[in-house]
Amino acid sequence: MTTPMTMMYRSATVVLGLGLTMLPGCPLLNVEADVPEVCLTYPNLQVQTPAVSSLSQSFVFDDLSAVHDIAKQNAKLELVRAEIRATSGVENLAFVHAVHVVVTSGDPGTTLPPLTMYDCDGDCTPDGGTLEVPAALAHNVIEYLRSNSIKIDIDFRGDIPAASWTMDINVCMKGSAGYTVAP
Amino acid sequence: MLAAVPLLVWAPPAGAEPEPAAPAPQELPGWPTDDASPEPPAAPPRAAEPEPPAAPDDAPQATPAPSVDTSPDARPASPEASPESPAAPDAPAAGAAAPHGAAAPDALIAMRTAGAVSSGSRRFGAMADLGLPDGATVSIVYRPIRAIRLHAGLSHNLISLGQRAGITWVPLSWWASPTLSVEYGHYADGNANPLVRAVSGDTTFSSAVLDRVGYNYANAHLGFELGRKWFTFYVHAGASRITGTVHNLTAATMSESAGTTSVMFSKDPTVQLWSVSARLGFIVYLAK
Repeated sequence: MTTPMTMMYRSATVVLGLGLTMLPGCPLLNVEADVPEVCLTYPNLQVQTPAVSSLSQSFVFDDLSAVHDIAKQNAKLELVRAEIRATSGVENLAFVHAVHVVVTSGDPGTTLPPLTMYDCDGDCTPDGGTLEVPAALAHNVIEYLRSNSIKIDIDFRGDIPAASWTMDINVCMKGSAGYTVAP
Repeated sequence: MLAAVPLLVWAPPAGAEPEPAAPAPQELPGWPTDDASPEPPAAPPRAAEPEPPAAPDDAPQATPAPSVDTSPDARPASPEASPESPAAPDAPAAGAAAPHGAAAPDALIAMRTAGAVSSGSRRFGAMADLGLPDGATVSIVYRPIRAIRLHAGLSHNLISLGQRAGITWVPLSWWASPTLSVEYGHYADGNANPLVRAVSGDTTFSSAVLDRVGYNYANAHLGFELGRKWFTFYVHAGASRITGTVHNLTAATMSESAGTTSVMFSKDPTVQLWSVSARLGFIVYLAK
């Protein structure tokens, strides 16, 4: 016969057992941040060429301090898309047939290889003065962002007009970071 | 077997010969009658009184007083309660329960252990507590049964107003008991800059990220409580999951940025935090 005392003791044992079981697995603090999209923007990149079929431009993101706090943590950052937006000099970007965006660490002593992060070739679909290029591969680029700067090389192919024009470049990433304090 | 049933409800007198195997009524959990002490000794059972002469075959039908009432109220609430009082109105139910044999006492005990509701106990109360991440909360408390406590109320974390609701399991009916609680709460977005300025003493401090701070949280707490009938003091501790969205991060990072690079968070980041948490508080039961 189960007595009430027995049932109460069982209940108390279950409560205490649950707590003691969970206790060792609990960190004091665990923080996880999810960044759906963060973009580095290089404004007003100037282009001045005669009519050509290909064009290469380079620039450097020289201040990554804003993302260094994320890069210091146990973080993962993946390139999502690049956005090229003509701001003056041309009506639209319909003349672009192919774009390749290569990312290189700006650290002179780096061993990180250049990565073709975004490209489109024949399937570029500019929307007026804006061209969005999807990421070519899912790759954790956190090591590139831990350096003080990253260099971006852009190669255009198409019927590039003789003009002087400017564009803004957005390099967009998504990421997550975690931080744990264990007893 | 029928003779054992009253012993579940009535304690034997000092001079009586109790059946060793029968549990004493003090062990019956249910709505306690005294916060400061264990269950008081029950009144002498009718079994100690001289039985009127009756044929043995008639005994079950002719013994009305030791009721086997399934309601905890039928149990004498204090030593002053007299077993010689008139038979309980539900005494016929005892006779009906008797044919169930050995299962009847078990069912009775199980009902009491699970915390059958007593109409004489206070079910509604007010609760106030302080802790992290809950902040300060005042709640309305309702006990549908003895072992379960529901609560819902309003909170404030010195930033904004929030809400919280939860459920607590109180396994023991004693004056002190461990507990297991789960809760969910929400704080609306509020400006945390005044709080930071007040704590840091820097009256010029301002951060765009702190303009809108709000979060949701869920607690799983073990606790320890003192008091049961009308007042309860408790300490709860365990783990909490806090989730929130960081707003205006672009403005914050741009203010620190230099050179030609600008950083834009086109979608607000979300943060999930697991942490130890705790709070203490009290409950005053006010109404039945």
